[in-house]
Amino acid sequence: MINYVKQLQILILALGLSIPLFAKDYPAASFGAKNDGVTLNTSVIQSAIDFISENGGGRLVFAPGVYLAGSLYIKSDVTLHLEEGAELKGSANPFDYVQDKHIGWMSFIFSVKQKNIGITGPGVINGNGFTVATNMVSYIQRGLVTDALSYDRPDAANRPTNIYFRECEKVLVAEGTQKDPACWNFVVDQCTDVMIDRIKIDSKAYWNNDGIDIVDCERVVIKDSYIDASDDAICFKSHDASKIGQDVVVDNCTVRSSASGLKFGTVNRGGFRNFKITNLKVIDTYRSAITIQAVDGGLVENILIDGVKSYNTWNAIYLRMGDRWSGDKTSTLNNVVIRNVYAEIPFDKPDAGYRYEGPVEDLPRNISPSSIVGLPDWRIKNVVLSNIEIVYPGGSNPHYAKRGTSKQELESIPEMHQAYPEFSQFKELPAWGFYVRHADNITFDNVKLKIKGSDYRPAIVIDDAKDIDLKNVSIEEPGNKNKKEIIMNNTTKKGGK
Amino acid sequence: MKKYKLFVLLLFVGLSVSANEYNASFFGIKSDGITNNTGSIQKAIDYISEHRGGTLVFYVGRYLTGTIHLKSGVKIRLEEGAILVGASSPYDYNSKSATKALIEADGQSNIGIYGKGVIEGSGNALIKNTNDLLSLGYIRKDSEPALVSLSNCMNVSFTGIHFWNGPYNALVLNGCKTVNLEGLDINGKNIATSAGIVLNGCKWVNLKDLFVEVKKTPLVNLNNQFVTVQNSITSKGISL
Repeated sequence: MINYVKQLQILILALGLSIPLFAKDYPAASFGAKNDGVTLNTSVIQSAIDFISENGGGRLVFAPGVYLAGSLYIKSDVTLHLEEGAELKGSANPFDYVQDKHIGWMSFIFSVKQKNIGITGPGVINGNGFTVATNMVSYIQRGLVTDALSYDRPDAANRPTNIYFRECEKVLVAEGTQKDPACWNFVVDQCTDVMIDRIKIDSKAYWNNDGIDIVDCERVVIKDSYIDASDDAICFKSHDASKIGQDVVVDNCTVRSSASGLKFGTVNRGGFRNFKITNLKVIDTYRSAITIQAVDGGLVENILIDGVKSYNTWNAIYLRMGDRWSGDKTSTLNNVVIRNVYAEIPFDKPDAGYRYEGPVEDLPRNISPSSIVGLPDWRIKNVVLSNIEIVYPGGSNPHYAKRGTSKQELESIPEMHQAYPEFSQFKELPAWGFYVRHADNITFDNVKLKIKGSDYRPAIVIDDAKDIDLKNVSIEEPGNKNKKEIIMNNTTKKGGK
Repeated sequence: MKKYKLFVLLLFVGLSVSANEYNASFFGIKSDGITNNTGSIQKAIDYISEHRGGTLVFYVGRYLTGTIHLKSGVKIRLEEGAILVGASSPYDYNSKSATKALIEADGQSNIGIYGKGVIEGSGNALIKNTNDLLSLGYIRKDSEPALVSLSNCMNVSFTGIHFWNGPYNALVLNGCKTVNLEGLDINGKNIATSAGIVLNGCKWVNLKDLFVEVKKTPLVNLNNQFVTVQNSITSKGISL
């Protein structure tokens, strides 16, 4: 673990140094780009990018103003530089966007198989996504575009992302705001050496608006950024079973989500290895602050999460193995360290009032615990939780939802092998603070669980686990004299105790 | 006889289906003069061509566009007051064809534009912008786009339309067969480089009731067969 952490620290430095210093700036206006917000500049900007790429590289610089465009492709050695007050705005017309044949997705800004590319400067990329998506619905209903309109919204492939980079090398995205995509905001897919630095994302204009998706990439740094998204804020995915996303650092970011704040998954066909997340702040988030999922046959290993502050977020930590799209593969979830976490869980829906707030689920359940849940045969292994404090709101009511702690009740909790993984998927769980099942070698070291009112459930339930180590676990529950706060079933402690 | 009647009926039904009319607005095309409609117009043409053909109708308004490609079975009707306005950046004419144009087609059949509307070339603005880019070294010297350029097309008809302010040629037809150009007003009097119609390697071409006012050659007629010219004159009253 220590070894790869050191490597990742070197990575930040190396990526910082590898940012190319471009020789030449080209004003976008010199190519005839108009900043009036009504002229469609697609052809002009694309021609400018092509010219710069073919003539030694450089920055295409956008002075203040609004530059309307449809799909653009960044080419090798070109950086789009948006000055303060400059906005690259997506056309309202879905027909101005390309569905890339190689990727199968639509995007406002693409780069595919290019090197040394970037988007820099304090300006704004505005996907105009609400308008694009609703116009797309209207085209679909007229029969102009084929789409199942499942959930009464266009499929993801019929809505442009803001930025989709695929198979690129040396990518720099720094400063600036990315907002209002019609789909995921910023996808980095099978890229290497990626630096994402000091960006701000406002991605709540439509459904599925993730913030950043890092898919099957190697050597990525995301730092000093703020992400507010209606779907997952920072999301690692593995779409390709033959790839593994690895050597990724996230440092000093603040996230807000109507799904999860920092998520490994859901799609995890290949896997994730050597990730280091430090100094993460999560606010007003509907689901989990941190969730790590291995449900599609991929591996997860060597994950360090160090320093999380989570406020008004409905779940702190959710680790899950499942068997959703695994096929012949076996998922693994192994070697995870989560330390220095402070989380406050609210009673009421934490993202209420945000645009496209998260979908209300069929209940009942009382406030859910943090959980580590494997499958009987696919076990989550080697997890260390240290210096963790989670504060719960209390207010559970056994007449509303109840899950007891008898052997029979614990073992009747459904496995849900193939279900979509969410912390709330089991509905009522038998603990208010932490629930562990089908997991081996799990260490709690200096873990404090607090609850503001008394709960009918114990703080911790551990079921079917081996080598559990509870060191310095403290429980604070008002009026809990003589209450058994830790219940274990079919579980062995570390050292055979 | 009964069978024959049925055949005629089916033929008629078939024809009426193929004559489907579509309003431009159905495809999100805007008439405000500032929205660039290239994507929507092209989508409309592709869609109509793939759905047994028909007519795309533009009512009064200014419809800004870059290069569009006509496809088989698609006619465009420009109602009186409807203007297809060419974009003023040369980058909006980014076709890879030999003769670039605002409206292009290659190897298509049963195509045309008719009505009382206008195809506006925005020639002066386009020439100025082109010269600016040339002086910066961003583009290479190339001929300005035509308003319409068709290659290897069959059953082509342009009637009633005004062709205004093309930066260069108004219509270029290469290797087309069965062409009817009738009642056209081609006017480039404000553009120093404007020219008229170029016919090259075409067969069965009918030119009728044309008025051509341009600064350069009004008609180039090369290697064609069966070209008839009726009642067609330049602004000086000279027959084409």
